[in-house]
Amino acid sequence: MSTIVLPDLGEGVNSGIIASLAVKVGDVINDGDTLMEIETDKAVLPVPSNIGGKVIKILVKEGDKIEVGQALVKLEGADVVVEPKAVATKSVPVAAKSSAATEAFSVNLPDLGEGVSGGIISSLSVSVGDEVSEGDALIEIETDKAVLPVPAPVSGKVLSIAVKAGDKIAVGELIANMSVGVDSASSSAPEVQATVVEPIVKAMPVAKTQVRRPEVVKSGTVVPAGPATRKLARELGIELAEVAGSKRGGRVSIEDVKAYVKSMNLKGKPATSKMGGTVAAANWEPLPDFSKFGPIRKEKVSNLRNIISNRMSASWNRIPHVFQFNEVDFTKIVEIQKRYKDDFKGRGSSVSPTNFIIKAMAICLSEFPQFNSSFDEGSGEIIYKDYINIGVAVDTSTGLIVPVLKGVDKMTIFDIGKELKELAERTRERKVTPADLAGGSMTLSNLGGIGGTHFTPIVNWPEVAILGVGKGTIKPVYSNGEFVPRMMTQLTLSYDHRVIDGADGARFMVRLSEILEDIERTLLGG
Amino acid sequence: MADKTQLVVIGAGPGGYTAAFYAADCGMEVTLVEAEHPGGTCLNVGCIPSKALLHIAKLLEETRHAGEAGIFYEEPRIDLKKVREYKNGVVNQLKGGVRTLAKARKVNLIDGFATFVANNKLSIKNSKGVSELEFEHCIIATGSVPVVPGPLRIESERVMDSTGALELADVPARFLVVGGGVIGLELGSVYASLGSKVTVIEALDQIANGVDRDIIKPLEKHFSEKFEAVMVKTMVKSLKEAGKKIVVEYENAGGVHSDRFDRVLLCIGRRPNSDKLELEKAGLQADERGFIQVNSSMETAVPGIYAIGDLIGNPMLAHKASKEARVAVDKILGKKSVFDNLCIPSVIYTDPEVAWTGLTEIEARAKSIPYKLGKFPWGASGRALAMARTDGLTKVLIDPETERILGAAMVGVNAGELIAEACLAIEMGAVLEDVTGTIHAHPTLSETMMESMEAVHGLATHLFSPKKK
Repeated sequence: MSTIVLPDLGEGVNSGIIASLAVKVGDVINDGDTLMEIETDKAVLPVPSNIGGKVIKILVKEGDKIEVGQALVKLEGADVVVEPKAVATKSVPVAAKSSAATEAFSVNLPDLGEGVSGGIISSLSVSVGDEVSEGDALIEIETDKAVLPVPAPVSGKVLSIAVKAGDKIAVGELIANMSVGVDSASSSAPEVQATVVEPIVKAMPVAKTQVRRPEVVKSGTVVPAGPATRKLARELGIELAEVAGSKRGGRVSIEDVKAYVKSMNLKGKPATSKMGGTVAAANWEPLPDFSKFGPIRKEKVSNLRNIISNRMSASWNRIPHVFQFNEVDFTKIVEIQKRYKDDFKGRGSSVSPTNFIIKAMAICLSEFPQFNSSFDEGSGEIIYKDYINIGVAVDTSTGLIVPVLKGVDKMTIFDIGKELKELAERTRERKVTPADLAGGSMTLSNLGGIGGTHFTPIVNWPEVAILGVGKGTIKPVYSNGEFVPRMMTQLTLSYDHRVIDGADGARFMVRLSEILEDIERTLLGG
Repeated sequence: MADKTQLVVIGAGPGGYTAAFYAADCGMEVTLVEAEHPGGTCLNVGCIPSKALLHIAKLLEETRHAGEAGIFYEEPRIDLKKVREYKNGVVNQLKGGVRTLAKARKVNLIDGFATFVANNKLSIKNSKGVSELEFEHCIIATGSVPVVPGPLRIESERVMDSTGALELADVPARFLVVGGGVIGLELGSVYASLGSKVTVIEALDQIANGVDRDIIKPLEKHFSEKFEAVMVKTMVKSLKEAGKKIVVEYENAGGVHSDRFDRVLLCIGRRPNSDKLELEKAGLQADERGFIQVNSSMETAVPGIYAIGDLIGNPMLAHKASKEARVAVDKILGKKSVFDNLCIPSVIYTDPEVAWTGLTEIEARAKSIPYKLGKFPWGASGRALAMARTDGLTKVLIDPETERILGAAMVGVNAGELIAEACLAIEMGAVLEDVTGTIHAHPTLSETMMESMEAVHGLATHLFSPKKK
């Protein structure tokens, strides 16, 4: 005959109320069968038997308050391992029992998360022979992200240490060996057990009922989020565990994931954007105190300046730029412009080489469709546009604005001049609509009216190319055996090297120059 | 010159046809190869025909028990031929449905037996001869087949696997079911309702192994009345044909016994159907049990080749296969797709039905996962009482800290339908209050899910729990 007592319940719980009995006298039970369910102030727990046999007596009833170590059930024909006398002498046998039941436990470097695969041991926190408790640091390890303590996964004695400070170790490698008492938590039990006449059988079902062992508690590691939310996070490359859930019980919603991505982008931390690319990590250092150097003034950044700043940063970070320069002979364009000056003015157009450049760009875009495209990193597609709209950078009193001239391939140069003038005026008066600012194929930035030679404009994402035009100057050009004065203008073609190869960049520039140098031939169809 | 296809799916079961149809819906050019009948085990020799027969069993049982409600029928007359026709009608209609759906989607459905020739080529053998098919992507979905251990493998039409039992050749006077799992219990129920004296022999210590005791108890009680005997911890040692009987020798704690049955159904397990695919020619290898190893995106070790369903591991369930099918196709389409489901429901379509999902108490104990329990016996459900079916129980396991729902199980009529709510709750990461705070129609059996959760705190309306303090 043997007696089964209430095992240690862990977590400082030492009593409970019997919620239900699962066996009755005469039942034949097996190892692992539930004897009863007890309700503690933390949870309802099943009390399994760790031996098999026939129930001959039940010492408690439903509703009883019972304590750890209290006898619950007597079994017949059980495979009793411990001699009755062994427990009769108070606490000693139990201590002996638990030391006899110690086992070696090897501690390996656990997964450190965040893709860290290992590190260098910066210090050892324990020595051989130390008694450590679960959670105490064993070593400190320096990874490329931080110095982290590696806690003991169990309580016990350090038998050996396999590493030393300065060692480089990888996840999964042995750190130390520990001896672990199977029943080390039962120090409170012995007194009570002395009241038990019959033996406690080997290996109390501690392991089975001990609650909250983090390494096996699955529920703690699952982030509560519905399938659609999990899918979104996966697509964005977001670790769900890092997202704070706002819903009941900490559940993460789709909105939470979106807000997290937004906050990451604002912080400038690398977060995967919708485009699949990494939005640059600009972890700005704090600015120095400039007032130390002299008087200063502060001005809040305007909304427009903010937009320009964000868009330029995004374009610059996202697009690998190539700059193609050329010097182009604008003499003929200037001549034609002079000749038809009144015609331009009569049609409400400004008199500017810009009108001709836009026409030339439209022709080149139809001949080089890769310049009239956008790159969708998310889907891995290049989107070609069958419309030709040219964005024109306009200098306004508040800052740069780029309205878009639509359908320029269907316009005459006069039309372009007229429409552009109206658009630029509306832009300067801040009367453009959002629709006027969207849908460009390629952008033109003409700074020639101000001055300067070559400059390198930033591609206006999601477009893939931009043309920069500098100031034209009269230069002697060697032609047909003599130097002749020509109006030479500096052009820069900036483009996205992900979709446009260098050779095509040069071809585009050559063709553009050819058109501009002999616009009449082009208008004739050549 | 071999034909070419963008995606070939081998096997047109619930995993394979889902993969083929979904891929076609997403714009792929798809070939679906089936060696037997479209629909696979599920539709032809599994879920569907067994449910058709269980429907008949239910009709019989209801007429027999109608007397309790004051309606008296004569003992029903069974026309076995018509029963078979009914079952075959259901199967044929669905089988035709698969072909129609394939055609509508322009999925090229080939009847033939596929084997690998290379990691991008199949050989397909059928009555027209042998042809080759080159593929860009391949999804293997050849499922599983019943397994019969050597000593029980005898040549006799009276010893059947599940496929044979579904044929319903006759109603044997004494019917032995070897294996008290889902299939054995369902088919045993069918034969018992049709009039056989059924004995179930199970080697493990309970029928429906893996299901919590309290959920199995009402089922055991039901079987104790319906079946001649249910023997657990019992091994069948040998089978011998003797005239029109099968002599069965079995052993348990009480010693070795011998008995005679008219028919024997063996449903001890199923094995993955991977051995005839010539996987090695594609550079693939099944493990020692025949399963093909895949990652969470259903990719095998060979790029471009995927495997789904029974072939990749337990549980062998049609609904697991069809989810995996979508995961694989999404992966092929370049999406970041993984199988990350938290629970897969299981159902035993006996009377009463048993259904469970997520964490069970057995698993929680084995892994020392803490939980709180809520139970609602159907005796307290007005709807169950009105149906004279109070032989049910709904239980939930929740996380004691967060009160998140970890698992649920139930026994009772329609349990298989009712488990869906728990699956959704678990996948959504719902906490107890999410379910108790949801209005459930009254009177319905679905209320038992809500009340079992209320019972965690002793607050179920129709169940008084004495205060603990």
